[in-house]
Amino acid sequence: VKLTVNGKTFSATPDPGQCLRTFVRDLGWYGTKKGCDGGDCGACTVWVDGKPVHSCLYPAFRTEGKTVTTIEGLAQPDGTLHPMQQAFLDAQSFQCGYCAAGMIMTGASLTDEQKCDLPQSMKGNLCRCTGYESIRDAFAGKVNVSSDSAGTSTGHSVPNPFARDIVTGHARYTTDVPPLEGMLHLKVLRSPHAHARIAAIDRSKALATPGVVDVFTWEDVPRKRYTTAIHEDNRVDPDDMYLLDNVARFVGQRIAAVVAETEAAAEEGCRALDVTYEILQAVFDPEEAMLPGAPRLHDKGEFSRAMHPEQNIFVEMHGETGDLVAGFAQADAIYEDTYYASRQQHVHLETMESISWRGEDGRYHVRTSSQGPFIVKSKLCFLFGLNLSDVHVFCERVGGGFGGKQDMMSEDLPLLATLKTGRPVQWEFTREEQFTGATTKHPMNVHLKIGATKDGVLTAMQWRVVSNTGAYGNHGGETLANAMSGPWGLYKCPNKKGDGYAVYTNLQCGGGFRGYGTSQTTFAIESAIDELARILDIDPIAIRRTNMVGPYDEIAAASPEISDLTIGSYGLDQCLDAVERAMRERKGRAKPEGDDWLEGSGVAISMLDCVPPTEQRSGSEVTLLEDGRYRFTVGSTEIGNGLITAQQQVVAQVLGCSTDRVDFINADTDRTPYDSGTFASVGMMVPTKAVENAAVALRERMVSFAARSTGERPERFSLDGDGISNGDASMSLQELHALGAGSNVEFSSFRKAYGSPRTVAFFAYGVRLAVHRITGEIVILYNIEAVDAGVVMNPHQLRGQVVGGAVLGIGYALQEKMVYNDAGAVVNPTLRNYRIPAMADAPDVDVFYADTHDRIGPMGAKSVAENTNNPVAPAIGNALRDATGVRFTSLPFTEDRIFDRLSDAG
Amino acid sequence: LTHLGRSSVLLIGTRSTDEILLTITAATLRPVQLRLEPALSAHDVRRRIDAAIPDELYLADVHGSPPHRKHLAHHFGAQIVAELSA
Repeated sequence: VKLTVNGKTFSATPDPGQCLRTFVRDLGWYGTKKGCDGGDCGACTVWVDGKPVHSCLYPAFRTEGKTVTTIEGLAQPDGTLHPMQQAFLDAQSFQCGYCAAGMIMTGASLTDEQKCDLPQSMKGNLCRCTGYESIRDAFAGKVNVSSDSAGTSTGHSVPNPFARDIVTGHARYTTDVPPLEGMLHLKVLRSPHAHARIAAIDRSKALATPGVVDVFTWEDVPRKRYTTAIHEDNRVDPDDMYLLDNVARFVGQRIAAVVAETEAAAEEGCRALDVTYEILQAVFDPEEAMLPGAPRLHDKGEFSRAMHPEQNIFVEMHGETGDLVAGFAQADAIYEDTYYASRQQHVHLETMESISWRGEDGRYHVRTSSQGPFIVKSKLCFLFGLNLSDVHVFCERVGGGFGGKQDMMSEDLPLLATLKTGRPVQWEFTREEQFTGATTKHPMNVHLKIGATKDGVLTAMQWRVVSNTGAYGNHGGETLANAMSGPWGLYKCPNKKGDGYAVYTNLQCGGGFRGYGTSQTTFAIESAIDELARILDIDPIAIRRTNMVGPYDEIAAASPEISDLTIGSYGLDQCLDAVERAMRERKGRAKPEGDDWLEGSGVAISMLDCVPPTEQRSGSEVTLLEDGRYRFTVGSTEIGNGLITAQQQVVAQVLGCSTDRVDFINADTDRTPYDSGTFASVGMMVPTKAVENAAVALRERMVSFAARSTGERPERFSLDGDGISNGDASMSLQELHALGAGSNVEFSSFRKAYGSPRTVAFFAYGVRLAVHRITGEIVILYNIEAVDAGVVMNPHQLRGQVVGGAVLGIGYALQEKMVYNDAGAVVNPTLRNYRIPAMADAPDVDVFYADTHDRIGPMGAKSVAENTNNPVAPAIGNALRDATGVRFTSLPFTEDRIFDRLSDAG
Repeated sequence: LTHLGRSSVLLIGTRSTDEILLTITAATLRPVQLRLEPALSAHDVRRRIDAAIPDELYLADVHGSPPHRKHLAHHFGAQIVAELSA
């Protein structure tokens, strides 16, 4: 076909059946993203003759004679941005930025009339990070950024340094690079059976498929046990997996990898593999899996670190403090019930993807989309017996994570194929594979019993948590430990007992997910506290005030152990006050008209451990460059969390300049210091602390050098954006650098940070909603999230984390549901059928920040991101209870799951 | 089940002088049309819908359970007939 793309004429032949998305990318326009390849997410939106289309559904051959515009072609040739790009830039309407190109392409095509109904007009574009508020801001012409000035950088809404690249389509995510010479594509055959032994794999037809280069099965890989879970210390997770196994333990487990000259040939090769399975009995329910006689999943011996594989128990934990029997005896009211916290998929819009190759340096390079490139590197070295010095893992931009990329999922097979074939290899997960072969939030059953005196003072709390970790242990132990601690430690109670089990079943694995186990038990405990308040006829906010930890209390769940977890700052009281005030003022919309609409409100609180109990360390080097600019290196990844911006602000603040003078390199095992990984909300607490430490050390170095050179006291010197001065005279930073170079002094400082002691952050969420008692429809009328984040580094970015987290929680509470059939296969592995919130589902969220200053976190700041979704589902459940009198204990609260209990409501 | 999402049920009522044509789709495996006399009671509308749509004709998927779709067909069917009879 002959077509025009972004003003240039191309003549190219699309492959049979090729869609426009891959066609324009083959022509070098990488701004067009893959989110779903199903016409659901809109990340691939381009214009054909000025009309927006989902290019993943648009046949490439139909562009004959047409004009295609991608995000790269939207600005004028002189670089002047299209007004919609400028609006997205001003409003910073993105976090990871992966959806922005599609959002802008759709937004830029809308008529004024269409802009009046954005939920309808933008329904074809999904965003998982922002909660849509900042996107609506762009259409409203709002400016959310503010520039900083030298030395006063923190506290300003400094823009994301990638912002311009994001709105112009030039930000490079993992696969947004020209294909390497001779690059192969990898595809995986996944198990159709929940539990089966592989009797034989006949690869002859696959190898005979045109374009197929090689096939790898369990017979071709090192028989080494490992885990995909990423932690500093690999011993906290079980070694119960093989790279490729001869036993399939869930539908979707990878069976074989095929590498071929094209993706299509690799797919064809997978279809041509002839696998003979010996079907084994499967078990899907964790309670059933623990019963005698249940099919057993694992027999990897004691070295797997699974505790009771003969009962399918990967790990169990028990804790008791005080006297439970006496505690319940003192209670005037006791509430007991079982809650089910459901599965949720991360749906980071950039799927998992990696490219590996052998460089001219003879070393192996892996470009990837990960939350922990350093641990990925060590796992790869372990699996393939490589030296650490021979492997390089790095990220450029990462299109969202939410915990999903805290597993090594897409790096190992490409490197295996590169090792075997000597050629570069690329592997991209499809959206369907994200649902079938990646991880999810762990579903948990939480049985609890709590008692209180008539004044609402808790006397006893007992719980039993059964977590479905799926076919492999991976994050099952750490998420269970987390589920068993924070949400219970938030309440003072002398008598507590908790039992927890993470159980193997023949379903896909649970993994790291924003909240990391605490969302699930927060749902149960915050619902139960509400219920207990109702039994006792006490205000649900008052009962929380009576029992929640205070600023000087010890945080204790069921195990009375000394820990490094401490309350470095306390803003829970302010958060709860703010929510109470807002709920009392009845802010927000009125309920829809009609007697069938019932109205209710609910609140919930939660607490976040700002660093995990597993170790966490990081390092940073800050350097004064010859041209007077600064550069810092740090190993943490920027996954849409705003971390790089915050780190720039910290460097600028310490060194007295503005952020536009600060360059950086991040997430690269060759070019940055070691970092344990960007997960568990550590970004602010550990890597950013390392950046601060290094910047402070550099400042001291610069000042003492200047003092020594001039013979004056160091206290007299200060830094500003341009130079160093002693009040009388000043020297530019370039001059200082030159002076140092002359005496062999390099202005560079390297410092580390370690995640201990650990502080906590607090959250309160309130919601007022209307529910239709016949249809079951739920409308959120008002909601507020109050956050105790310590000192706020970047108000706009923090707001994005809070609103985005709240909307993720709304999705969890009201709509997201993974459905399995009787054979253990996911029946809705697409975004069309697994509904994450679209703009129409995302209400405005009111945000309140407590005024606190943390004594542990850098510059008084502390973590936020992870916990913003936790209190949402229970608060919505409490509001439903308030409106209808019915307690719903099983997530999600979709209309078809609640309507039949509403008939008597009201 | 989501705002502006997939339809769980779609009912269309049209009125001629002596009858109401009620079309039920999205909820069912195929569209179903009922010719109803005006001023039918809610109870009778439900009965007529049930006579025309056996339980297994309701669609079971992630966008709505058959009992919910049936419940909504009853609710909106009766509402439409009442409004068109007014």
